[in-house]
Amino acid sequence: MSNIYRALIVDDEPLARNIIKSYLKRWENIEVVDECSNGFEALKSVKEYKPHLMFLDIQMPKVTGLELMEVIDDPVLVVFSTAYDQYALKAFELNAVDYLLKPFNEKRFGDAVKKLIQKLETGEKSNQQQINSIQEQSEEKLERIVVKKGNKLEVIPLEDILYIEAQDDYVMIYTSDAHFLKAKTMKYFEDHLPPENFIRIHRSYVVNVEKIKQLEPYNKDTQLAVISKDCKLKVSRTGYKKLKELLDF
Amino acid sequence: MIHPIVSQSRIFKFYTVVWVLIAVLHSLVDWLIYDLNLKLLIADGLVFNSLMFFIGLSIWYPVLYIDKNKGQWNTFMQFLIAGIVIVGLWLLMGKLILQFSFSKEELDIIFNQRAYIIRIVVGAFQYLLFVLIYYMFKFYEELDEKNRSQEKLNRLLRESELKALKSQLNPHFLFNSLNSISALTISNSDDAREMINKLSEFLRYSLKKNEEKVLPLKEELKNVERYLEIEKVRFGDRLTSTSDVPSTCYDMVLPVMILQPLYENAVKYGVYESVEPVEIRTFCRCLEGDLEISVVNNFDEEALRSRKGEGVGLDNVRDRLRLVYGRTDLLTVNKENGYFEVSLRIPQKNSK
Repeated sequence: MSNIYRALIVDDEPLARNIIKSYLKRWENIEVVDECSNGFEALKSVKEYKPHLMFLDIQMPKVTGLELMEVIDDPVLVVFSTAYDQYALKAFELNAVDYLLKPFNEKRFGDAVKKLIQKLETGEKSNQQQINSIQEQSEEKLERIVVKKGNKLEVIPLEDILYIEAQDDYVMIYTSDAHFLKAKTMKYFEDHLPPENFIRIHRSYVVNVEKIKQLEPYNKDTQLAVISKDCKLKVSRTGYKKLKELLDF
Repeated sequence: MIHPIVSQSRIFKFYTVVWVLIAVLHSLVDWLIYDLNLKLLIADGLVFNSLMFFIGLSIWYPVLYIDKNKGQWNTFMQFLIAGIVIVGLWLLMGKLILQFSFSKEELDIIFNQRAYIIRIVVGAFQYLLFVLIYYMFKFYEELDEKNRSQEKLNRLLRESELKALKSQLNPHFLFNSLNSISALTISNSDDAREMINKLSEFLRYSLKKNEEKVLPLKEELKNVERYLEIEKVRFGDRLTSTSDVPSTCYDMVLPVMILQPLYENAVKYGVYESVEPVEIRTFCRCLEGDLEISVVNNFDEEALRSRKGEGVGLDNVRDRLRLVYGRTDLLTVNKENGYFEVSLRIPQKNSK
């Protein structure tokens, strides 16, 4: 019990942070190293303080708590706290370290902290895997993609995306002036991007159909989707069929 | 309205069969009365009834378009004149066509004076029958349409009531406010009590929404003020508000809880999505006897670009205004240069 654990509180409402801070006073082996009011600050703080645990609100400006967790690869245990959220039930089912529904009392909070400490002492790794599966199981369509470029968060609106390319266990997301690596599968994007705009035209490509300028023949069986002068993507036969169906040509 | 005969192939077939039968009957009657060659008998039945076949279809249009608002006498005269013209044309055209293939002597037999009278009577009878049938159809269609629009209106009403009920309590707002109170009880119990009072008053006012009535503007603004104060406790410096309301507007009336969604919208898309402070500004004025209210807030354009869907709340307001005032142009939305503005225009005369 001699270990001191570093904790981070992330919530956009100051009073909501205060309540966690005051509940934590009883826990002498937990030290609050920083408070953040949004995802951007939180990412910086995680790099700087390397916290063991984090209390994380979900509904926050610009980047949600769930989106933030997608891009944090440091090992940090997370307890979500939120008022009312469609993810609540799912997260319970998928046993995230814990999930606090606001308002919560000190006893309920204590249970969550006990669980955190137990996991830290038994040396369990971060719950990254679980976060991913929360998102993967959700049937909601994406409205934006959050990625990390260096140590900064970037929010990519869907209409900025040209196409997504498969790269082993990762995907590369291309916009007109940049590209971003993201640890997700092609299948995930195929399932979670709005199907009226994004189509898997090839084993390696999901493309934003609005960005296709034209199709040109490549060889007998395949076509090329022209995005720009220097960017032409192969279209498989099934991909061509899907395009034809969607664009009705 | 669609043509009752042509538009439905089943009825059109039936209509055709009826006219074939009438044509046969016509020829039979000719045969019984006159001692004529077969060719003329058949031609007579065929020509006149084919003509009426087409004329009959066109009678639908006077029935559809004759202006009934000018009184019964006028309507009657219009139909009488149309009838005389139609029957006259029918006889003239029929005879002209028959003259192509038959001699004058032959035709004189079937066009003697008595035959003319019978033909006129039959033509007039057919004309009247058409008018009657078309009228019945039109009456039935109009009744049906009336029922349908009534039903649609009822459905809309039910839907909007349901939506109103759903949006009455915003759970996100409620639970977060309770959480703030929970935090305040630790640090500052006076503030906590104050917040509970505000929240209670706000909830009590929200429950009035079910009574479809109008209230003076000052009541609505007082409630909005309570709502904003609660949100300011939650968000601290991130939310500020100003209002510019001339006292002459205070007693103008508007439907209860019609302003609330405007502010919830400003908080949801302004404060929730922005790390910068958001200012919500209220302007009211009297415009040509109506009350005009504008709610303006700044917002983070970059953040909202990646977030779709705006204002189920605003749609509800638009629906309610349509139900109460029967107008669709009372709510306008304006979005430019990082500012979002919603304006309501509330008529003061025709409100319930």
